[in-house]
Amino acid sequence: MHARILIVDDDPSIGEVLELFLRADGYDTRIAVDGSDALVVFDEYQPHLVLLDLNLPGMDGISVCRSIREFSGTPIIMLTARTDPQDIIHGLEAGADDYVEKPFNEQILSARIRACMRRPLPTASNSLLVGDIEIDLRGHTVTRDGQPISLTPLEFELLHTLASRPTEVFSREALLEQVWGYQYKADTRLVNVHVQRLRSKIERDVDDPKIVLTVRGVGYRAGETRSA
Amino acid sequence: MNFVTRIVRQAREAWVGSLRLRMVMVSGGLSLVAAAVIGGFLSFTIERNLFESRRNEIISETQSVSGSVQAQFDGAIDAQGFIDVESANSTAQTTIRATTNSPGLVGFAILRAPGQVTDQVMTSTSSIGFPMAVVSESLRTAIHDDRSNVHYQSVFVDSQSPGIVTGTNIDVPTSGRYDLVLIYNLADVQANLAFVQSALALGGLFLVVTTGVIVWIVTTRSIKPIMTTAATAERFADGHLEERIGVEGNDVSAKLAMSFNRMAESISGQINRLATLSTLQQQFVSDVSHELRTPLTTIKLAGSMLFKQRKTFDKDSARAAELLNRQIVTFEELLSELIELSRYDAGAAELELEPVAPATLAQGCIDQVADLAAAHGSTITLHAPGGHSMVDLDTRRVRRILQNFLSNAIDHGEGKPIEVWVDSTSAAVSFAVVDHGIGMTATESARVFDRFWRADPSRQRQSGGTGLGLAIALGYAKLHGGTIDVWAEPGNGACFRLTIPRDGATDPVSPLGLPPEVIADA
Repeated sequence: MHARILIVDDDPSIGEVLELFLRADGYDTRIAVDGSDALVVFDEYQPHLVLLDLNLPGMDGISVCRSIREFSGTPIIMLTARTDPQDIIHGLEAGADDYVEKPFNEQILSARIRACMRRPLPTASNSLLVGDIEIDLRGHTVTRDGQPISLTPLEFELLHTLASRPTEVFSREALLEQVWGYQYKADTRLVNVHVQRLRSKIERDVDDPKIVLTVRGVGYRAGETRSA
Repeated sequence: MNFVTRIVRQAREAWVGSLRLRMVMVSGGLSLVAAAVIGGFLSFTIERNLFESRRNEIISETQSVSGSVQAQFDGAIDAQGFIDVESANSTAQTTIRATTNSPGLVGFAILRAPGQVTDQVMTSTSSIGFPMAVVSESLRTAIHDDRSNVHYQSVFVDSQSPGIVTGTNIDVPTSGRYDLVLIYNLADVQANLAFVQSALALGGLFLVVTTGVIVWIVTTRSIKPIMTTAATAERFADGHLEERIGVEGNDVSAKLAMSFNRMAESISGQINRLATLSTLQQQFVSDVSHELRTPLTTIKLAGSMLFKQRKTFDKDSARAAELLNRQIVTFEELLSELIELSRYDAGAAELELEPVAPATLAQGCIDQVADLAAAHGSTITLHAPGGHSMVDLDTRRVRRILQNFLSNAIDHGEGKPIEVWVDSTSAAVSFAVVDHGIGMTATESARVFDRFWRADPSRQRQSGGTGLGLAIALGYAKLHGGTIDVWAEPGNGACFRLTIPRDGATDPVSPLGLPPEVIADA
């Protein structure tokens, strides 16, 4: 069974060429040409990944992203022709996992798609503890005091990476490489925005984080593990 | 000496710098001359008149005294023809005292004229304290030569005050000729004159000051429109294009204000038109660049699919696919640089600062192009006497600048060694890339930052390049408040030096030199 990718772009030729290219890569694809169409198709098609153009007629890409995030953690990669850094930040804050700027080349897009759909690495243990948070690696769930916390796969992966080596400080570049699969590109905003999103879900007080700690000038590390 | 020089220089600056001061000084100087001439003339005339009238008064008094004394002596002869000269003398003295009423009589004397033999001799007499010394021989000779007139001489009495000595001949019966000498002190006249002179001087001074003040006021009033115009023009030049002068009345200053306002109106209109045009053009370039990205995405993906499958095409189609693919890369590069430039032009580019060690950053850039450089036969060496501590830089943009310098150096370095220098001071951090290749002429180096300008078109361009790289690099440098300096010599290579100020320093001295000077102490 092929992985399903939903392409949302109002330009039919981009949709078509992406479809040609992704099918050649072994994916199953569907195209949606505007925002509301995208939500309908998403519901029915249940894709494994969404390629989302930000600049859509009617409901724009950022709203679509936010709507999808309300009920699903499906990886979303933004396609953007805009270069205003603010747009990219808004998109990431709305829940997109990653972005590629038009005109992108197909190797980069393939790499981004593969990184987003990558299954988490098998681990020896079944669960990890960070602060008062328990990460169940098998069930892919995160709980605090038995209460489940809903994370997107990307957020789960980010937390998992930090928690797997609790004494180590991860630089933003290292996180980009391990979580997003980037080799050279160094857009550390990706990390900053997603750490903020993750904190807003798992920290009791976002202004005084205990789970994901900032190490000034270096990067991030997991908080002290408290035995329950 | 130094102090004097400074005073002189300040005075000269004030003189050159202030029209009003010059006007006041000139008019004050001229009125001072006028006051001196008029005052001098008046003083001289008054002095002469005062002295002449007093002298005439004294002479006529002497005449009348001598008449009385002569009559006294003549009347002292008794019927027998005898005369008691001594008693006549003392009577004469009484007469003199009684007949002189002019102020300032110091004393008098009846002196026997020398060189005569007579029947009897009357003793020469004088009043008490008579200053015999001021009576000169020449006066007495004059009296002797002309016996009918009163003679006089100006002298000083009490060694200070001006005075006058009068003398005339008296014939004493039986005793011969005697000189009647009177001495007058003219201190009162002198005092009057001094008073008049000081009044004149005071008046002159008042005149000079008044003239100066009047000229100051008049000049101030008449140059006020000029000053207003100058100040307004200054603000206008500083970019306040809305500055205008208030127009009052209908005189020449109003005309000046109106002309200035018309000129300002015309200039600001022109500038606004150009600015609007420029903004529109920038907007157009920006819009076009963005609009091109979407179709380019399709072209690129489709092109690369064709390129991947070129082995299945016939020879010509395969070549076409290769050409298409290569040009798409160039096109994309050009487009992204146009977008960068248009963002910079629109002022939309913002620095994203983060702490980084400049030497580390430079090493990273070198590592990225090391393979390309090696393919051209060049080695790249980093010299970093400084730049190892953290500096806040927009790493993406600085990296972009250095990559541009490096790819130029590799392109034009003719396979010779390339040096990268990094150094910093508390005021600035500097990067320089030096090659020893073909270099450039001065005309060429002056144009390297022009958009789409390329040196000699026959040159090989192996790393590609859009002709926008250095324009973008300069834009990025300016965004940091920095600059890029270029040195080049045909056949000797080129040096591009980026200098970025630290902590808001303005116009810092670059830590690195520019060839042919030594770049730094290695």
